[in-house]
Formats: sequence, C-alpha cells, structure tokens
Amino acid sequence: MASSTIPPNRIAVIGGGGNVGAAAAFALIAKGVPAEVLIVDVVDKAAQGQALDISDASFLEPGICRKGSFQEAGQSDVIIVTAGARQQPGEPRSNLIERNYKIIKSIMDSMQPIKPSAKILMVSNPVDVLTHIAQKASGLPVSQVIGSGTFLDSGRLRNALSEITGVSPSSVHAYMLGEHGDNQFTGWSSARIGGRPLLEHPKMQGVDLDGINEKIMRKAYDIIDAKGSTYFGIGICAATLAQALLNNTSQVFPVVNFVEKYDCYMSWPAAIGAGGVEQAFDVPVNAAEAKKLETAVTAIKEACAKYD
Amino acid sequence: MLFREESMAPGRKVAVVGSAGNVGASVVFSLVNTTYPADIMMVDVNERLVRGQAMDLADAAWPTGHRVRTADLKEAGQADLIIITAGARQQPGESRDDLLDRNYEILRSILNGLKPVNPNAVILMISNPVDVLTGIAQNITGLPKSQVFGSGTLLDSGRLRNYLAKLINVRQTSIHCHVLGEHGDSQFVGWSSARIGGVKLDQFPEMQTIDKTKIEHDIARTAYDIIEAKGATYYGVGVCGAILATSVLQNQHDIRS
Repeated sequence: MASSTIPPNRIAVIGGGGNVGAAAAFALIAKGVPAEVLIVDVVDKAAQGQALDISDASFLEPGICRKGSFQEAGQSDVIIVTAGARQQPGEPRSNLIERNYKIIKSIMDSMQPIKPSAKILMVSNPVDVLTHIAQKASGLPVSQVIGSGTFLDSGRLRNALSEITGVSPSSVHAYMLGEHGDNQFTGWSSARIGGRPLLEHPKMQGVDLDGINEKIMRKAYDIIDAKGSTYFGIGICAATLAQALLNNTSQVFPVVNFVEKYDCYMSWPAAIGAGGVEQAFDVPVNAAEAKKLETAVTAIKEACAKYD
Repeated sequence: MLFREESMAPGRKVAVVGSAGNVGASVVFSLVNTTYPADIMMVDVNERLVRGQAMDLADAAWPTGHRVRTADLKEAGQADLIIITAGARQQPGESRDDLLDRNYEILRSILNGLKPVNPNAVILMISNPVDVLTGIAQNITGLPKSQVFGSGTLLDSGRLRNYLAKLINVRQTSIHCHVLGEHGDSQFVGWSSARIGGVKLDQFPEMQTIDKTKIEHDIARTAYDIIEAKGATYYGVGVCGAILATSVLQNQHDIRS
C-alpha cells in the first residue's frame, strides 16, 4: 500500500506454491504479522494461486501476500526456503542431497545480490545439510542462516509430555536435538518443569522414554499415512521462527544453527533475533546422550563434507 | 496420547464439521493462529483423513494453547459454536438445484446426527449454497433464528475492500463497503451506503473513473481465478471462518457482512 518512509517488513517464501510454503505464508498472515509476504516459486501458476487465496485474508489482517520474484526475495528481511526435491523410493540419501544441492545453489544464485542483513530459514529436507549448503551458496554470515531442524519434533515432544504431566506444552522445557532425522535424540537429562528435572516429576516415573521417542519420530509418517502429507505443523514452525527473526524476540528455539564446539550445523538451542542467531546455548548432555550426539554430528559432517 | 486431556481443555468449544476437507482444515488452521485458545473438535465422515488433519493441526496448536482433536457428531452437538463446511462441490455443468438436492441430504444427515443440539449453540454455515443451507439448518435444528447464520458475502466484501484499499490507499478495515444479498450470481455491492471516514465512497476522486460493473464482476470471479491457478480456494474462507468464530466465542459484537 505504498508511500511510507519506513521500509516495510518483507518475508519471502521460496517454494510458496507448495503446501508447506503456502501453510507458512498463510500462518504469517493469519497470525497478524504486519509484513509483506512474497510467494516465490518456479511454478508460476501455483505461486499465483496461493498468493491470490492467501491475500483474500488481508482484509482482516494487516499483512499483505503477493507473488514475488527471486530478486525481490533476495531483498527480503527473512527468506524461508521450502523448495526442494523429495526422496524417491529407494533413492540413496547422497543422491537426494546432490539433487537438492543443485536446487538450493540455483535459488541462491537467482537471489543475488542478497541483502546483507537478510536471514535465511531453511525448511526443506535433509534440513541440516541443506542449511549448510544454503549458507555456503548464499555467502551470508553463518549466524544469519538457520534451519527449522528439530523445532517441530520438540513441539511434538512437548505435546506428549504435556499429556503425561498435566502441564502446558510451553512450560515443559524439553528438546529434541542433533540431526533432524534418524539420529535425532531427546535431551532427557536437561529437560525441566518448574525448574526441576523433568525425570523427577511424579507422573514421569516408570514412563517408557524410548517409547515416547519412537512415537515422536513416527508422527510424521502417521500423518502422511492418514492424510498424504504434513504441512500445518511445519508451517506454524516456520512462521514462528520467521516472527522471531523479524521482531528480534530472542526466544530460544532448538533450530539448525552452526555450533562452533562441534564445527557443524545441527539442531541445538539458540536465541533467535534480528541478527539470526543472537546467542547459542550449550545444552548439557549425559553419557548416553553424548554418544547419540556424536553419531548425529558424524552423520551430518559426512554428508556436508562434499559441499564445503 | 496425541491430543490434550479434558482436564486441560480451554473453556470455549468449537466443532468444525467437514474438517477433513481443505476448507474445514483451513478454518481450524486459522483458529489455532488466534490468541484466545479454544477446544476445537474436528468431525468428518472420512475418519482416517480427519484424524490425519487433526494430528497435523495439533502439531500447530501447541504454541497458542488451542486443543485440537477429532470427535463425533454427538459431541459436536454440545459445542458452543458449530461450524459446518461439509458438502458436495458444484460439478462442471451441474445445476444449482441438483447441487442443492445433494447438499440438502448431506446437511440433513449432519444436523440429525448433532441432535440433541445444545440449545445455546450457535451454528455457522459455510457450505454452499450458503444462504439456502443456512435457512435449512435453522429449520431442521429448531434453534432460534438469531443463533444460526452463514458466512455469506463476507469474503466477497473482503475482496472488494482489498480492491478499494489499493485504489484509495486506506486500510481495509476502515473502508465500510459491503457485498450484499445472495452469495452467488445475484450478489451486489451496496455502493450507496459505502463510506470511508464518514464520507460517501462515491465522492472520492478515485471513484469517478472506475467501472463499477467491472469491479463487481471481477470480485465475483476471484474464486474461479484461484481455482484455475491452484485447484481450490480455502485460505481466504478459512480466515473468514476463524474471524466469525472469534466474534461469537468472545462475544465481541463486531459488525460483519
């Protein structure tokens, strides 16, 4: 709506023609975020359709949604990437990563020159490796490139723990960590409710912790099995992170960020604000968790090695 | 283990009947983005699909405290607000009468399943043809007329306001202009009652050169443009549903058309 001397907030969703991207864009508008949300996609018709549908919500909310170009995306404050190839049946991971490397590189090249203060939020999978690739290909500082990682899984974990303990999910401080995939693990030893260790809570006695882990890891498959794909949950996660980046909230989330101690991108708690990662938090792990962490780090580094 | 317990349910209860589908699921997705949490029940004949939608939406509800779960019609009938999005879509070439016949049967079955309906419940009809189905819903449930309403031309009014907002450079919520009548071919714009800042819309310089008939036509066509580009429309109507739900549940007394 033009003519202001204050530059508008702008969030671009690359891959916004698809369900996950559109859900993220819609969540931003429905949440009342006062930003210009751009739908960017190589499939022009899909981008146009989603932008038209979502912009119908603008009469009730302050945000604006429209189709955008890659150049405009490069000039945004926050760039969410949901575009990418999906794993074919029987396809080896290294193959999937190679295909996605080409896509991400092409996206970053199309956005150049990228606004120096832009933050990239990678959502596409395998998210740890692709966050690494996005940082290399974009040329942005490491602190300005993050990935959704285990944020959604942590949300699912909190829902599950909320059921058991009778405490609101936002008050159960527990994280899923490491790699967003087979090697992710729950930080049981660092989990707390009301300042006390979670595992000491009366309702947690005798609870099958591995069983909870398994249910969380399977959740995505359960949803896909029932409805074909997942997008609402991940859409909200992307929107929540984009809000934190835009509004400089410095909330702490378990997201993919570059952890110096382990010299790799992995899901680890970080305070997220206008600078991207404002602060990192080294979560304490016990012996068993340290082993899982090592496995996760090794797996991520192996996959990333080719793309340094 | 996936849905929140009764003991932790927010006070206000909303049921969305037909929420396996995109429109119903979008209404729920919009609701979970609102700040005042509700206990949201998702109902649909397609149990597997609605369960998948509910799981995905429960994943989206934890930051705001909404409770999302599946339920049957009996439980839905006890909600404070019952939103109905279920129904057949108009097939190419199908007459409105045939569509109405199909949707009457579906609606009748739903409304009977809800009974005995909470006498204080409000019903919000979204399924089309919305004007007729709203009347039918009131008839079959026997609820007071004031407790049964439909989304009607709210989205069309919204599209009109979006257009005028760009034209006159004023925020949509400050443009008081409504699309009225039937939500369908005979809907019309209340140009003579339209005002911005107390001033009649027709007096604005930007309005002197525009083609009103073309605008009305373009607004009415928007749904088709979206369907042509992405296959269906659900986000716009989703937010409409959530806004109306919030007005009802929080007793806000907003004026919506």
